[in-house]
Amino acid sequence: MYNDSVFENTLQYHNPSPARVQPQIRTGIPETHRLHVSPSACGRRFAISDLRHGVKENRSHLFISEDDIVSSCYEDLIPDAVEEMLTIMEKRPRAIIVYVTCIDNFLGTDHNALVSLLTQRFPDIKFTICAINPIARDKGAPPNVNLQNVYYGLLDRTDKTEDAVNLVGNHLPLVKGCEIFEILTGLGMKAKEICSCNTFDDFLSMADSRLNVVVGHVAQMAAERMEQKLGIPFLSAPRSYKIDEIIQRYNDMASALGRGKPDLNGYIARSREKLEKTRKYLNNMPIVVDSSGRPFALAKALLNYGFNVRMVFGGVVLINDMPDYEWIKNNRPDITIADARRFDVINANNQLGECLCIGFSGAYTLGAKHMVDMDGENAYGFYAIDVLMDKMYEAHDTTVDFNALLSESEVW
Amino acid sequence: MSQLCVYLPPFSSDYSGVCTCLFDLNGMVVIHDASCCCANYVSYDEPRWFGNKRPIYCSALREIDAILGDDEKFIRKVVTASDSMKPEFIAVLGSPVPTIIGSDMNGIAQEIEGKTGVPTFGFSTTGFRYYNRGVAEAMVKFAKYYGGTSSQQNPGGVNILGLTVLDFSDNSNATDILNLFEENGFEVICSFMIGCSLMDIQRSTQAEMNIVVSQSGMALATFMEKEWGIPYVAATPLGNAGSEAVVRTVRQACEDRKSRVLHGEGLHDGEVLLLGEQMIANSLRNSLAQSYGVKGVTVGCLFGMDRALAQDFDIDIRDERHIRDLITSGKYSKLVADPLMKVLLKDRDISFFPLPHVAVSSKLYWHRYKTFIGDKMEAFIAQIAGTSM
Repeated sequence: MYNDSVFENTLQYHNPSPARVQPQIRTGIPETHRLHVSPSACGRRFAISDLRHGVKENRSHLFISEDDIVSSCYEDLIPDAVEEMLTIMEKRPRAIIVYVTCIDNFLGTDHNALVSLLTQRFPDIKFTICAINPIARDKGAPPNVNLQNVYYGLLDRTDKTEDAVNLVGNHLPLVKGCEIFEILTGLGMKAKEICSCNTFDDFLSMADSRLNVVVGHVAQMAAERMEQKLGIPFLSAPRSYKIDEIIQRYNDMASALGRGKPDLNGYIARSREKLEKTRKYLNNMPIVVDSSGRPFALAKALLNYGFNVRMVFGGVVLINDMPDYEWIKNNRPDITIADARRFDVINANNQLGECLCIGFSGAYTLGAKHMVDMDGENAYGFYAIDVLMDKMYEAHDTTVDFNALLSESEVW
Repeated sequence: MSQLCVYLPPFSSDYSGVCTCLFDLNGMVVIHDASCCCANYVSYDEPRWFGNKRPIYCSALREIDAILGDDEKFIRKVVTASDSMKPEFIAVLGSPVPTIIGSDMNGIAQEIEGKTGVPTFGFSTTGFRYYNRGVAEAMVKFAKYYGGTSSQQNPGGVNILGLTVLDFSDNSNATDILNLFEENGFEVICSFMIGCSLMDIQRSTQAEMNIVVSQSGMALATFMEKEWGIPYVAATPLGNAGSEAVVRTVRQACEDRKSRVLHGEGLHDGEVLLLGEQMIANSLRNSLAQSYGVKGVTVGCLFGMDRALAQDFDIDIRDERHIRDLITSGKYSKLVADPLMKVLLKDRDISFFPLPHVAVSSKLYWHRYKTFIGDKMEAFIAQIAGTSM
């Protein structure tokens, strides 16, 4: 999934970006409850984040102590905790996801036995286990990938087939202006997204869809598993800013659905116009791309459109993005590739002068004058290019106000 | 004992307590964890993180290193960063995984100190305990190491113990407390641990008196009394009358050189349930009793109870269910607690008075914190008492 060896393995700095608020974010599956079983410390950020998003009622915490671990009985506590939780909750959930954290990797918990035990005791509820264990990043799926695997793992094969396409791998619904909805409608398909489901049954009906389109890389593994378990084929089509790639993706979708190529000329013309207008307006202003999205893919696309990209703030490189990383490293040695997490990033100086940063991390680190905020941005396809160009155009005339961003980060 | 928490968030943990104590010092702090622990601290336990770039890091611990017990990799990373960043000290902190695998944080610290020549402190923080344990450990460790170099006493010199952003946020509270004593003729030598330097800690043994403003300062207060003969007054200045009372008590203690914990008189259980940090809650109770005659106030200690500070009827809160049971007991007509606890009242006929605490509600309220000294807090206390000002 990731290539961690690109950057030197050092102590890591966390800039304040993870704490920024995404007011419209919606995570999880409707009518599903999350029980976080961990030392008290591990659950704090999830709980505060849920409170900010007004979804705390969807998550409970079971804190375990050192004694529980020493006595090797920590999983024995879970069924009773579920019982107590159900007596407090106003509505009985359809499914409960039990989250475990890094320490679980060292305790040898038998997850299958635990799920069986819970299912026997609460037969009307579906149970599953999800490991949020960044400690295991080096050997398997990182937490956000695990999460997708677990969510979609709740789906069961059905005998129904619906003319629908699942868009998987996005934490927010794709914005409605994205042409993908129009194109899918043109192909006779309805689009389904986990974060747009209103009920658990809506979610379960995703198992009836004809195709999974992986719009975010985190769901690649989940899509592979769904193909095996549910028989739904998938198409890997993460967000791209390269026009040729986007065309190819839509053609592939049509082909996978047994339809003819869609007419994309109008979208292409609009994107090209916006690219040209923004490039001229920025007048060679230095651009920094940070790790908010797929930085190397975006940087390469912008370079090809004629923008003056001077720096890329990375951290991890997706395996799929390695070719773009290699291309920049080998063909554009004048472009600085920096590790946004490296310990000495706190001493980083902005040697570019007035520049435009795409993403908060880079802007914050460099104290940049202009910033395109990518947090909460969830456009796709040509529309993603259009939105980015509009934001870059606007950012050129705006000085970023970090104090305002700080205040916004505390709004809830 | 396990704890189920349906409505409330987990409270700040011990490693956040250590980190927040060391934030203002010119050192390098490393949490030995995969990622989340450091993210917890910087995102939800440190109001000063946005806008201040401090060398507080995550070690990026990975499973294979933990299984193999490869401390060398961790040590190498710390040494590399130290060579580059040139800190005045290094602190290495444990987290849940090092706790499970039995990492010897003190041993690791010794090895790092041997390789770098930089004073290095190991903290066996676990993530299973609350922030006040980390605060207490950090203050004592630093006072032990850096304090005690001067035997000269500074008449009128005081230290403030237990001053952290997790209790007082980063509004004017810390400055107000310092000003209160400076304006009343005292010299604040060291304010453990907001706005202090290693030099201040070195000079802290010159103080005539320690003022303990949160429960986490008690460990250092008792240590400094035993080690350097510095008595203490344990009370948080709150409101107007309450702050004046603390100053008066400090003056008396300077005269007779006797330590004091401010307790109200004639207190009894019931009427008001005050949930929070023990010292701040005690001081609020004192103000209610002394200024407004409200004597039925029970303190529920959210982060552990220090018996030396407690009344017989005070409560060491075990978990969320314990709070729910207290609320439904029918004993209390008023609840003073972090705003997030209001949800536990359901439709009970109990008046609620919000008193945010960073270690509970994090950034949801840390910039809407009450000012502890002055008219606003006095009005809040009067409001609890049912008296308009």
